[in-house]
Amino acid sequence: TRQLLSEPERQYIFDSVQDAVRIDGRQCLAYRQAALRLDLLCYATASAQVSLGETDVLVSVREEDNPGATAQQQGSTGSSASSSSSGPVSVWVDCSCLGSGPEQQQLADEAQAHLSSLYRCLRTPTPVFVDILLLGYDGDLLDAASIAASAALMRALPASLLSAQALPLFATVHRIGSQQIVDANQLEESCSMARVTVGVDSNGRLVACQTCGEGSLQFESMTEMIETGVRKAMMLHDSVAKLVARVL
Amino acid sequence: MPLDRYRNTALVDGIDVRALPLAGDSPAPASQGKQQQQQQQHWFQRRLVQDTVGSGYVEFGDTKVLCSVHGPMEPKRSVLTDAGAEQSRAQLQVYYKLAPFASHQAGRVSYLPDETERRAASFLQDTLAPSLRLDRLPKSRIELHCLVLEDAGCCLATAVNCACLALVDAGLEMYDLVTAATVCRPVGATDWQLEVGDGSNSGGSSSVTLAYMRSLRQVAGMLVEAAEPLQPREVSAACRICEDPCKMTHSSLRQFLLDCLPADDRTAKIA
Amino acid sequence: MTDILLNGRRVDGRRPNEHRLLRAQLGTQPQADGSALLEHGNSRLLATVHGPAQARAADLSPEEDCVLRVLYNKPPFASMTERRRRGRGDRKQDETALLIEEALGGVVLKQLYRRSQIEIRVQVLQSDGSELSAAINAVSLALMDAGVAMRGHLAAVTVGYCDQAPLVDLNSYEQSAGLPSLTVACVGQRVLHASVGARLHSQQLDPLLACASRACACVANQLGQDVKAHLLAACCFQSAA
Repeated sequence: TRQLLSEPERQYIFDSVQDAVRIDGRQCLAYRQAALRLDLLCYATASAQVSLGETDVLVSVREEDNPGATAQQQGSTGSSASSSSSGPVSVWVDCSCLGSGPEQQQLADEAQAHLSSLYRCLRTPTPVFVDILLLGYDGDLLDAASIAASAALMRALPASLLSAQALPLFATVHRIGSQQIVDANQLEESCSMARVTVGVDSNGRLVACQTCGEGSLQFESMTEMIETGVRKAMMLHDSVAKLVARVL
Repeated sequence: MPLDRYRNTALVDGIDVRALPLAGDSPAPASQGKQQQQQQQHWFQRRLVQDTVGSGYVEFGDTKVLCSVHGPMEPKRSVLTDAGAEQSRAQLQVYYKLAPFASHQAGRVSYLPDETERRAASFLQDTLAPSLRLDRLPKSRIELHCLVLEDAGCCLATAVNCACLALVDAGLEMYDLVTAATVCRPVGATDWQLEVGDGSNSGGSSSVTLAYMRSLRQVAGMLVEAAEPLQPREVSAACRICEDPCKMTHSSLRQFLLDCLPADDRTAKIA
Repeated sequence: MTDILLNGRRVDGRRPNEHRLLRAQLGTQPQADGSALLEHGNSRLLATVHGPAQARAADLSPEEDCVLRVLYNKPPFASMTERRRRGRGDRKQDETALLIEEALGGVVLKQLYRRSQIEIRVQVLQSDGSELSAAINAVSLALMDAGVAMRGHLAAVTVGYCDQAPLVDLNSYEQSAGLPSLTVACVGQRVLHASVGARLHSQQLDPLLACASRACACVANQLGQDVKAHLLAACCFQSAA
């Protein structure tokens, strides 16, 4: 899914980001227009679809209150046993809408690893399955998926649980040259050498944090990027909470 | 048993048993450099796997990691490489595997790579790529196989150190040595403690791993595994705590590599 | 059988010859060349078309003009019953993909797309029976959106047989009861695909086939209106601009 980009194109994107202009005219720390749709699937406990630019993610949240079925499910797959022991929220990501190549598989695997780590701190009374389906991809998958999952979980989980535990969200901050950008699209993602993915719960605390990409960072810029990520995630938390409250 | 390309096939024949300190041995010879009095010291060894271009072995406390480097070799054919993109740099492919007998607590580790292993592999890949001059080896692929022989905590950081040693041993051009350290904190505690591979950290605690390039003063990678929500400043503090052990490991790894050089080479380097 | 058909009504209150509500949206995925979101009762399917594009030499056999590749994916949360075991790809899905591909082979004008490949991806978001026919309908709409030349509007329907009466458009409950069923895909009056699920008596075949082809015409008509509405909207937008 990596976009083919020639060296002059890369340079063009790089230079314009240095002048704080992005290829789609956004500011460096601005998100694309996002749309949130709730409860599209009637079989799921809750579901949400988020489109962030052309990235389109559908999330179904299912609570399985039948412990026998889940135990059998875990028994039948050896590898899922370890992931289910880490927390009752298990995440499954599917990218087969984008194609069936190894690159799509890798994208799905990486997103699944990141998103499972995001919900490691969450404790629920019954096992919860968060299934994420990628319908379109144009960068910033983790943010879009976590926004959708968060909105769906808000609808699915009981209010008592939500008041006791804060739901987390991802914010990914890329570094291109000396600038930080959020919500990078696919072109910008292939220009960025380093990024920090911060999982922040609605109280502003970190539940996951990781640097990715084939580049290194100064210590100070890494700290700065974490701060930016936390700030942006809090902003996302606010808007998601507002949108979901409007539906309720 | 089906053939597994993730497994280090060269290991059984190629390993030099004499180079490994055996448990029942009388005190290891001083030349081997194992410092018994200081458990948190790394113990390095290179050229353990003979059929590879480079390999490294690191012990940190009871944690033992073996890495081997294969390549540069022909890149994997994909749609992208066919189109001519991404050929100006070498592809780095990292495989990370826990040996079936690696862990005392978890019992036998599954044969197929699970989610944590895949995650560790992608972390290693992202951490080592900044230090390597991949642009010097266009149209090629470098494979790094990382095998954790014994897991007593601090696996990932030890794997980074070991991988770095193996890459140097393979003679690949690098900007700097990448060294890593992990600090952990049990749920409810307030102080971060440096993880030494003594098996004291048995899950249920938050940990921060930092990979650092000392000469460049750059962070190559950072990974937070939280067991409870953490304040952002606690994470930055944890990274700061990691910095010193990373520097120490850097100097001891550098010293080990210098010791490995033939005597005349060394004088030339210093001069 | 009483719970399948009681006083001439089915479990969801439909009459035997009543099709579920069909609604289609075309061009929902901007990244694909053509896409359609089909709502078929409780079922929801998303079909996307990529291409025609250059085919890989390995896929292209000398006697074939054009490669149709169908990928069919049904995620674990799609069905009403408990969540399926995790995993990607299984035989059932591959078989469905193959059946779709065969049905399309008769309707797409392959000779116009020599040495090229058309990739069709079907994503089931929610499933409530008649999966194959819903998938064929969705794919047909997506191909129209992509502007791929076809002989006509391919429409499909699944019919079953219960109490001497053909049931049109089986839902998942009726399908799980193991009724003799028949999935038919038609272009106009011509049947392009027919597959039998469960055992079907040969005497039942003719009435079922007749019923199915009538139902196909209705489905084509219904979905055709959605296509026209989509085209009209696109034209209005263009003339306004």
